[in-house]
Amino acid sequence: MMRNSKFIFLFSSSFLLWGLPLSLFSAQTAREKRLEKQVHELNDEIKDLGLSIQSLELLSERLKKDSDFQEENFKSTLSSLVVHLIQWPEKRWGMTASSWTELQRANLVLENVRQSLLRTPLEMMANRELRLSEIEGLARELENQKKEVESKHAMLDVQLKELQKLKPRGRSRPPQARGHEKKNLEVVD
Amino acid sequence: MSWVHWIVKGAGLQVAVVLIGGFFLFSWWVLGNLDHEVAKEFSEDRISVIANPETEFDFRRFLESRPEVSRYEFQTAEANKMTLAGLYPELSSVLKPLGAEFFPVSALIQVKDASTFLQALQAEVQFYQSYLVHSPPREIQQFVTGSAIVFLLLWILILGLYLFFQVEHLAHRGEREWSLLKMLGAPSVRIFWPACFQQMARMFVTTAFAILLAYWGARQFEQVFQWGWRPEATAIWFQFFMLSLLMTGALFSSFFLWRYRQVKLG
Repeated sequence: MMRNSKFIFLFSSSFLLWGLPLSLFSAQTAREKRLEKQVHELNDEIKDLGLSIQSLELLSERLKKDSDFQEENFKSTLSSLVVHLIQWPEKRWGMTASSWTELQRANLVLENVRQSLLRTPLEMMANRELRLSEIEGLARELENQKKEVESKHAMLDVQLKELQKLKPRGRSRPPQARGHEKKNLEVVD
Repeated sequence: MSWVHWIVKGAGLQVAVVLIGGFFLFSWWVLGNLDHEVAKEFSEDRISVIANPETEFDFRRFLESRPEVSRYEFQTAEANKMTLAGLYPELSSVLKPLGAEFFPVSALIQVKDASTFLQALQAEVQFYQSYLVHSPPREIQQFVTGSAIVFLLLWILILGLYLFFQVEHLAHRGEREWSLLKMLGAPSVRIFWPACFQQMARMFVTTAFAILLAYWGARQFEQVFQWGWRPEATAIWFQFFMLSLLMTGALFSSFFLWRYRQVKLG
């Protein structure tokens, strides 16, 4: 009986001496791994956001070029029409009209064409402004998102470093994680 | 030199009768055609609509669902461009470089009752940009009617003047003969009918020239304005012919009787 109780005491004390630190250490390692994973994910996210911002900038440039091209085209067309637009009479006599209705209808269509020509420059300007402001808004939103992710990344990075400092000596960090982090930081830079 | 003066005066008046008669006949022909065309074209109300291209399909379904719509016809942007270029050759340099996006899709709708249809259409603003209820060319009709009346009055006036001078000339030339006949109590018919037939023959030729002039004008007009003109105008020419002869007869008789009464006896 006495021998059994001694055995239990020895077992429990050895568990306390070795098992508790071991379980604590394994919990710390899991947290570290989780943090490393999060940092890795955030790095990817930052990279994606950076690429999105770059593509948006490219899109904005292309849009500006497209708008410039369209406006230039319209400008050259309009320059040849401007005299006619100024002298455009309200009613025109089409000699070859086969009926009075056709003539009135043609006048209505012609007036619509004239209105459309006069409206086009304003629509083009409004359209350019709208599309550019939409892209700029989207880019600003992505920039804010990137900053947010970067600050989160920095915070997690600090936590990770602290955890690594608290680790018992002799156990180094897994080389993969270190290399990964370095690589990620390079990407962020 | 008095006979030269008389020829110039007489021929001048005869030319004026031909010209004014031709103008009157031409206005009459235009008015007849215009009335006929307008009556045919506006037997039902017509509405032109500039449709929204995005809702064209729904608009067609809407038109098919309306009981007051007799028929409708859509014209695409490209078709409108072609129509305008055909109607206005002077604008071809303007219209040619423009893309189809500047031209609208239009629809010509024939309806039994325009006001009912418009009420329904105005409730569906997504289908159209603008519309036009076609109306007959009242101003043109009024102008042509006015022109015809003015030319008719002028023609009657000039015809009257011409016949008056003719009667005066006859009276001046045959004053003694007329006086003797009057003194002897012979009927004036003996001198009236030959003179009347002579004037009738002159007016026959004059009217034929006026009809030729109006016919030539009508052909030119048809070539310039390619509207749906009625090709047959024989009735109008014939009516004018009859009117001309009747007017000549009536006026000449009146002037002759008046002048004959004024001839002094002896």
